[in-house]
Amino acid sequence: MIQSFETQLQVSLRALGEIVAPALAGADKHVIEQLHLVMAALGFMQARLRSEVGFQQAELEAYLALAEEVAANFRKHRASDCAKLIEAVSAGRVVLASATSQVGDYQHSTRHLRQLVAALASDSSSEAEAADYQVIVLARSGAMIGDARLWCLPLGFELDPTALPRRDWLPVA
Amino acid sequence: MIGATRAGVADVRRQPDNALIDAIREKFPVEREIDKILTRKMHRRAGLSFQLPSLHDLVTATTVLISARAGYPVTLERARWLSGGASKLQVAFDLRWRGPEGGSDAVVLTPMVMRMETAASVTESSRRREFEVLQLVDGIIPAPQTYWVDADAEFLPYPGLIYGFASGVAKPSGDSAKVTGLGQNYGPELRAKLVPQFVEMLATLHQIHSSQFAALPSFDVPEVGSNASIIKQVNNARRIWEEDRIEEEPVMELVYHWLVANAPPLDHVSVVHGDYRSGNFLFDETSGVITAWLDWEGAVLGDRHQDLTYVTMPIFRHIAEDGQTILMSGMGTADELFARYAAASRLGVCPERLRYFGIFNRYLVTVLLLAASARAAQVAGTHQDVLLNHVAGLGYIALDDLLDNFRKAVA
Repeated sequence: MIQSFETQLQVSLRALGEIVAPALAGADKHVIEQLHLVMAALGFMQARLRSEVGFQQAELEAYLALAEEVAANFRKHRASDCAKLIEAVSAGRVVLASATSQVGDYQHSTRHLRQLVAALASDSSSEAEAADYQVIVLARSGAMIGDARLWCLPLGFELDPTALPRRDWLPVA
Repeated sequence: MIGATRAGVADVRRQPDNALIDAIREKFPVEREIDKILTRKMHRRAGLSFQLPSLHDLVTATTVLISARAGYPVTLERARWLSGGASKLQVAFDLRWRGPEGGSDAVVLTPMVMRMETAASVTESSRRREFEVLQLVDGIIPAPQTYWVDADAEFLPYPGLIYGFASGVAKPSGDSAKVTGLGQNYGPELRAKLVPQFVEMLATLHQIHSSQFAALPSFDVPEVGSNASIIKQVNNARRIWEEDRIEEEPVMELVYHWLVANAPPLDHVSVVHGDYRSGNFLFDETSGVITAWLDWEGAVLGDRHQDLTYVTMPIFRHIAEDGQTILMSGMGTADELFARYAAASRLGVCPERLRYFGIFNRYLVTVLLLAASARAAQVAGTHQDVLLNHVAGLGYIALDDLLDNFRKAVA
């Protein structure tokens, strides 16, 4: 029987929390701090293990929507610059639709889109163009950054976790 | 699919070649010494991951360094790791030597700290600059006394400096009243003692006369009336983003362009601490007297509003005992602190500059969390990888806050 990742994390966290941590009570502060940070990292993985595919799909979907809007807006004036972006959007749509895609595929598609969308900002040739770009990016970024905050929630930094939105990729509690 | 797309987003920053390093240097010009340090970081990245030296090895290297600088053999006693700090490695010890005067018969035992870089850092910085600014503020602002610097790692495994051990604590030992927030809470009694010093020391720092800047040869001295130095600082943050980020973020690109386009000309050149906040000073818990300001590695010659707004960054705030008042760096509301500062300083507080540097500092904090921290952990570059990995998770809270403030700035 091969144990699941969830069980591997569960037994590791239990050993660190119930056996190792008490035994290190008299150790240097930085040693104890690092132990707790290791436990936090493992706890984060445990909390997000089952959500990763859904999160990466949702992030790719959001970036595809952003990239499509940017491309539609700049297509007339920046045909050559937008060609790569349109190509990446098509590839991203294929990844998203494919039943065989894996987490790394979603992640790399999103990173490619991030790169191409950001590059258009640095190359904007007119003030009007830059302003249009800004409107699109600012309108869509809030929700995407909110999702990233939700993903990082188990790290414990949020002052008011209830203020973050619920998302489909989160398992029902 | 995947081959082509993955090739398109290869992590070129993980093993940067000379062409990439040079292209980034050319596109984002920064101060001379900063350029040297950031370029060194990029060349070092391709090397081995950071191996924590043994305490014994560091004591040996430090002994050789100090003996060479002092000109006679010295011994280190009671050496131990010093906890705290995410960016540098520190060893505390007592130095048996002849003292600052150096009389051949004298025997003095002085508590000191060796502060050394690691292979990578959340704040890649110059020990030479840190040493110079600590020497400059000696006698003006409470700070550790500096002794020797090994800026090019001639003796130590990485660049480092030796300074006097400063007494005091960074946070109260007791449990303070119920508050919420990430910032340090000092409690009402201690807060009342700390606030006036916190503000007056900042005002004093910012009013150091420009005639003393000759003591800072590793700093580019800006000109009043020009915004060139501010743009160099924006480029410094942007360069870190360019060198360290794991993935792109369109908002960061927008903010960078805005910061360059809106950089205000300097109305006065101040020594800016760069990391002036709760947690970065030591104090005597009984008297409430601030005994030393730490972490001068981000110091620049620039605009005082950079420090003023840094104090108010959300990650250093908490809500007071009344459940409503937001205390900046555990000290007071932003309005209270700015009013105190204006009263303590002959330099004014300009709302427009506060707005600009509010965005600048949020951009910088986001760069340090989402790019520098994440990258330093990824390349196994420090003794605190697990900590840097953890704080990188704060990055999206910082980015959201940047987005919120940027929207208001451009509305």
